[in-house]
Amino acid sequence: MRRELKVGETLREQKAIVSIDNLSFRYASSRRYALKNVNLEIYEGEFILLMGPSGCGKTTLIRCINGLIPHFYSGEYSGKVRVFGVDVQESSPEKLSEKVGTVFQNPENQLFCLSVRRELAFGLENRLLPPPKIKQIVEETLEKFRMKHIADKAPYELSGGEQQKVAIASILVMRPKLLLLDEPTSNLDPISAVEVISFLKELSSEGISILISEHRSWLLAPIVDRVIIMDNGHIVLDGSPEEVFYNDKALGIGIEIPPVVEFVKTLSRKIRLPKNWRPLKVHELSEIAKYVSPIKCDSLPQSPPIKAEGKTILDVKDVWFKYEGGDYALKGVSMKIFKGDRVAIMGSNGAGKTTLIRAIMNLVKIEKGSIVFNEKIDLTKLPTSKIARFIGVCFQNPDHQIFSETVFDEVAFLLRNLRYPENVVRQRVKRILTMLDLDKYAESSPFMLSEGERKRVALASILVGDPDILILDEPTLGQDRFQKERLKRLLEQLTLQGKTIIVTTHDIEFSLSFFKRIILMSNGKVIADGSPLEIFTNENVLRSANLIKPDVVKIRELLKDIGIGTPLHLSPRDLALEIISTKGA
Amino acid sequence: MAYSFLKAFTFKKGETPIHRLHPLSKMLFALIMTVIALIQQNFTIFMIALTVTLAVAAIARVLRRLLQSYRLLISLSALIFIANFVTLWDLDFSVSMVLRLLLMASAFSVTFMTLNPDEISVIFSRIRAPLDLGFIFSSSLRFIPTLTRETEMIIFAQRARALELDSGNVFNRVKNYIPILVPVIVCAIRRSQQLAEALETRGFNPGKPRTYAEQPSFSLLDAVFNIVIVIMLLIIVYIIFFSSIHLLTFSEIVSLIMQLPYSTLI
Repeated sequence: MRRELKVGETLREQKAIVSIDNLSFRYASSRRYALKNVNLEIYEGEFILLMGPSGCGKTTLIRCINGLIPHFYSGEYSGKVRVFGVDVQESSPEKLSEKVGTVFQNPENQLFCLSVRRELAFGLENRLLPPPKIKQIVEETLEKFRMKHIADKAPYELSGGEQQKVAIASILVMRPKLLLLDEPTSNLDPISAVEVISFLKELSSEGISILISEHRSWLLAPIVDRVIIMDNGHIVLDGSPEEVFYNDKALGIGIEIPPVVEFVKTLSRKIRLPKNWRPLKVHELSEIAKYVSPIKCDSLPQSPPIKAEGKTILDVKDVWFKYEGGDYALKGVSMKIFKGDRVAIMGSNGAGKTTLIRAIMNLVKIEKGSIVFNEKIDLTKLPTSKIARFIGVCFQNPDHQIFSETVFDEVAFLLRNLRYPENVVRQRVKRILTMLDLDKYAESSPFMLSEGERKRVALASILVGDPDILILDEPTLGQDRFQKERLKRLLEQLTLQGKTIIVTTHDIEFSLSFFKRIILMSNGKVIADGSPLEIFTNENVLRSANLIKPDVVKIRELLKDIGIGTPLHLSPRDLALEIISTKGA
Repeated sequence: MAYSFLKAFTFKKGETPIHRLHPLSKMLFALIMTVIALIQQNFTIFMIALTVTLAVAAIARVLRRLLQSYRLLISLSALIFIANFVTLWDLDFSVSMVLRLLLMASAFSVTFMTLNPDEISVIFSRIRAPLDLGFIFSSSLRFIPTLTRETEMIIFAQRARALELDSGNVFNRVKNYIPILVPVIVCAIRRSQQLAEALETRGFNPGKPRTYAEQPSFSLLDAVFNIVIVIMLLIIVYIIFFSSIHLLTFSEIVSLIMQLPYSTLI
């Protein structure tokens, strides 16, 4: 187990607080081992990032440390897990909670009380502390983490980022020595994710040991001490972030590689770079001037302008909408979508993206404005069941729509509702299932599939209607890199068939690498509409949409600042290739 | 939609005297109104008790939400009235059955709109009831807004798949709700699993005693409120069971109005 020592630290001071010895675990409900022969030691004060494709065993590993396995989830268990010297099998989650705190993915399901103050008190009340003592600790915690202003708010009055910070604080009041976090920012927009991660950084500097599983490596790679990568129930890589992300093996696993690493690795295939130069932060790239000669930018083609030609397939004009008893969610939204467009609608939570989709489908009655399909069909006057013939919407959570006994019936639901003859239904469902690689599950229960597969079933159940416009709400949420690449290939194929694709997403990498046009929404309004390059290089626009500047844009700016040039591409790989191909031009 | 009925039972923060009452006082109010609803059938008494309940709702500033929930009670009330009237042919009894429903629903609605779910577990610990029951109770109230929102999202997702909820005959309409109900239940089960995990890791053990950081205390306001409500119950009990005072029934009031000279009605 290699690990860089911090200043002033000696080997002797390193105490293993968690030691896992040859652990294997199989859930009672499954035939496959979720963990197989795992060996791991966690040392005091470490900040560890745990990564791996979906289903790799990250969550199971965390459950083995906090005692939910084997005390809450039973199954076949072998090996030994010792946490602070205690054998987990002989302890209980309740006892372990004195030293180990756990934060889960969905903040809403970990907040039981209707005020932040009570939430923080909850764990201490379980420990039978006297009320005055509890009050004192709660007030200190509120003060320390600058939460006084939200102390009396209910969970649903808080933003996602605030909710997750409260969930973390409600664990911290119990003074854990080790904090486990299972994808704590997956449900958050990028700016809230940054907020939560910098909160963790602050805690780490105070000496709490942290193990966090997370997809967004760009956010954590520069700040953690150690990265562990799992695949198929095994630990495949373990070391410092530099060692792990610069290891060629990391690319073969379905995890997100930080853009800086991807950029440098692509360069290193063509240009000789020093072996020990392994930057993780954008500013560390400035050394690159030593290895790369400036490129001429004017020799490059201009970025293609957004196609204003072609038929307008969806015309949204001055749409206003207000939820009962709430503020306006849409305040005069207008946008023209052209046939064959590939559009990503972005913006922080609550910007109005999902409401806009609901308005397009006439699921909510707009107050003012017009939504016209194909230049003549007024969608505000059409029942949703009719709109579903030409616009397919796949909402974020597949579990909100899966209900059938078999995958086949689930996918056939739309066509049967549209009263297609059964032979046509069979034929089209079969085709879609094959296209999405789900044919082997046709007769299985959709509830037995993994989350990624369920997401694909949900997508299939929309695609089967062969809609002219396909709208996807957060399609990459919780998806690993391989699943995302597969989705991109599928969408690519659909564009070739002339489909129009609209996506709402927080996923910066996805929107930069796949979409030709980005519409930014903020506070119920469209505040920008343009190519990814135009949008993501415009500081003012990013700030007012509450978006953060992607690493790859920062890399591009750095290249410009140090005189290498201003490349046009916005994916780390293409950026690097552009520099190489025009070298010396 | 039917689930908006839940809004009449959802707590919202408030600073009114009713909100400030001890949770036990609020529960006592609902219980006494239930007793009044069940021990007698007189129209005049129902009217008095309902007026008191509406007045409490008005003080708590939840009157509008309460009245909105009545809209959804109309069909149920009509059903109860017709069923009773057709079988018993007794107008007063049929009316009182409807008022019984209305009074109990209103009283519990007012209580739950002003009772912070967090305080329910305090009640349970006070009356020495099992802690896990209290927690089940308070968390089911706590998650009403969440579940309502989730149900809405599920309905939207299925309607976007061309599901028509209000089409076909009665049998079909019930069948139309299966694609809604299955995901609602599955999601609720998943959610409860996650809740249980989070509870375990925060040291919650229903078998063990725990403390409460904020213990609500009885105030002078509670004393006054409880005394007024209990006195009201005692007077009603006295009038109904121990006195010969005649209170007007619904049919008597109707016939009185009918007998009024035509001119006074205009």
